[in-house]
Amino acid sequence: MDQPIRYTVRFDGLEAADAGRAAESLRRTLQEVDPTIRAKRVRSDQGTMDFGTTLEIVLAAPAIVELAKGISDWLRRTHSSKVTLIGQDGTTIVENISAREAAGLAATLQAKHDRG
Amino acid sequence: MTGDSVQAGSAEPSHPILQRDQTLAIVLGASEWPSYPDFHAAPSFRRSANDIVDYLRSQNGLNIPSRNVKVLIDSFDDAPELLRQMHDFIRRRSGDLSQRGTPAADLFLYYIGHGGFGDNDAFFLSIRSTEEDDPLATSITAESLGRLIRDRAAGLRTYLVLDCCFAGSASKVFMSGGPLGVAGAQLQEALPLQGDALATKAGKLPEYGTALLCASGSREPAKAPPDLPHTMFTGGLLDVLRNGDPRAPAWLSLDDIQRLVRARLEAQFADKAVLPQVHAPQQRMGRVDLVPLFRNPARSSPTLPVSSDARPVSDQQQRVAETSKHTKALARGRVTERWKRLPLILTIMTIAVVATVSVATTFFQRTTGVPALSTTVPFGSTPHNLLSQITLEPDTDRPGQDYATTGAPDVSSCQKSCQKDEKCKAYTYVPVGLMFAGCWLKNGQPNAVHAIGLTSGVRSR
Repeated sequence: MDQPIRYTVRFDGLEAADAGRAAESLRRTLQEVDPTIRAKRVRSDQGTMDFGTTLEIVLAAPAIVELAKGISDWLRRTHSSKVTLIGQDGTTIVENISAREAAGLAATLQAKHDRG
Repeated sequence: MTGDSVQAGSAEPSHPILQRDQTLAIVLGASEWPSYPDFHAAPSFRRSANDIVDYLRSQNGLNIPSRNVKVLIDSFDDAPELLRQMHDFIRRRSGDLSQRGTPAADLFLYYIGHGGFGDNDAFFLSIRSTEEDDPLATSITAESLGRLIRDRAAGLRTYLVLDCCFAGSASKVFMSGGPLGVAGAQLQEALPLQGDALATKAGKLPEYGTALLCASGSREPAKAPPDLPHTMFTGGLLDVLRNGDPRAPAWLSLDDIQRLVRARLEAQFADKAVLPQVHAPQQRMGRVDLVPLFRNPARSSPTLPVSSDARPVSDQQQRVAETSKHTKALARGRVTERWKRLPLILTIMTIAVVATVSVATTFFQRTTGVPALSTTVPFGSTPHNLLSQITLEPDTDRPGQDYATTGAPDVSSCQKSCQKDEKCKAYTYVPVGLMFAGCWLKNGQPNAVHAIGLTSGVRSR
């Protein structure tokens, strides 16, 4: 059985309040797109009294396409938003992508996963 | 109170506003969230809440009886149950107090925890039972808290203190009923004031309303650095409540507290400081955030005059002095604002009176053939002397040029205080029950403005 894949989603350039809103909104979108995708909000600074501005995502390999779809749909719906995806090894997979650039996201994630 | 810095006061002055038996308080929040793994247990949250409870109950604090204080920190109950308990508490205690003939007048509500937004932009506050999978549905929303205040505390002066991220967002829900409510409130504000509202606006204590003291603005996080015993905001708040400031007013309003806490946090944490805000979303009955509530422990006797020789010695103290001045100016501004239209109203009234007298005189002469008696209308009558040198001008303020304030019990004492002091050129007496009550002595003779309930006078030479 494949190891779970982990990503971190950041909302660079947004203030804490807006990044928190974006994180919660994307989290719920991903839950609706594929309930097997686990997304939780985390705080980058444990000294703040909020719910976190970053999303940690855990999924199985087959759900990569659904993840890409969920992110693309969300970006289209919130057209001013941009996201940065970080892989589990800390490397940046995509940076500040918008809805227009998200079309090839599934292929990018799949290729990155296949390269291991 | 756990604070070792609380001053022992054997002869505490009675509170000018709060009646301890008629004051209710709720302390709400959490310091641990077992169903939200990213939130580690936070002892500083618990300590902050406990010390606030101590302040509310302490003789050196607000001295509220324990039966009037509801503590809901780290409760195992879920959000609907907590809301039900708060509803019940306010309803039950208000009912009991009303039956005794001493109805509840003031409500404090302090919250500590994590604040966040749902995907529908709803602002919510974490509680112990907040769950990671659906924090919005398992927390207390600001909307439900607003409804609680509107439904159960409509006739009270309510003071909310929120220590959480984006706390300033909560003020929106107190604008009442969505966009239509906001529009309605704006329309109400634009209409001329009448009756009690007019008197309140003129300086009388607001009978009800809501004010919020927030740890942060609507877009900024609040902080709880792990090396501090309290959260950053509540730590600053407790410091101000326990130690006060010698240059601040003897009784501190939420507005005063916000400025003092902010100044202290900026001095301690520089650009890392959280920036507290104060909001008064409903001002129709006056600004609850300006009601003097908290004793300033640094002022040994709240009724002692402030000497004109007392000059601020540091930037912080300068700010504090400005705060006091600013707050007083705000109150005066409110008093005078509505009277800017007075000349127009007086002109219209004069024309109406003259016209009426003229018509009546003509009618009298024509019907009786007797010449009418000449009448003098005492319009805009001059101030009459009660003492030989100091005049008395009812319903008049003379804002500015204050050099001292005393706790004179009545107008006559205030006049005498001014008469005795050669430096005093004028005075304004603000009776007990109005904000900034006391006798304000002035080293000049600022212009008179109409202000219901205030009395002024000038030294005539």
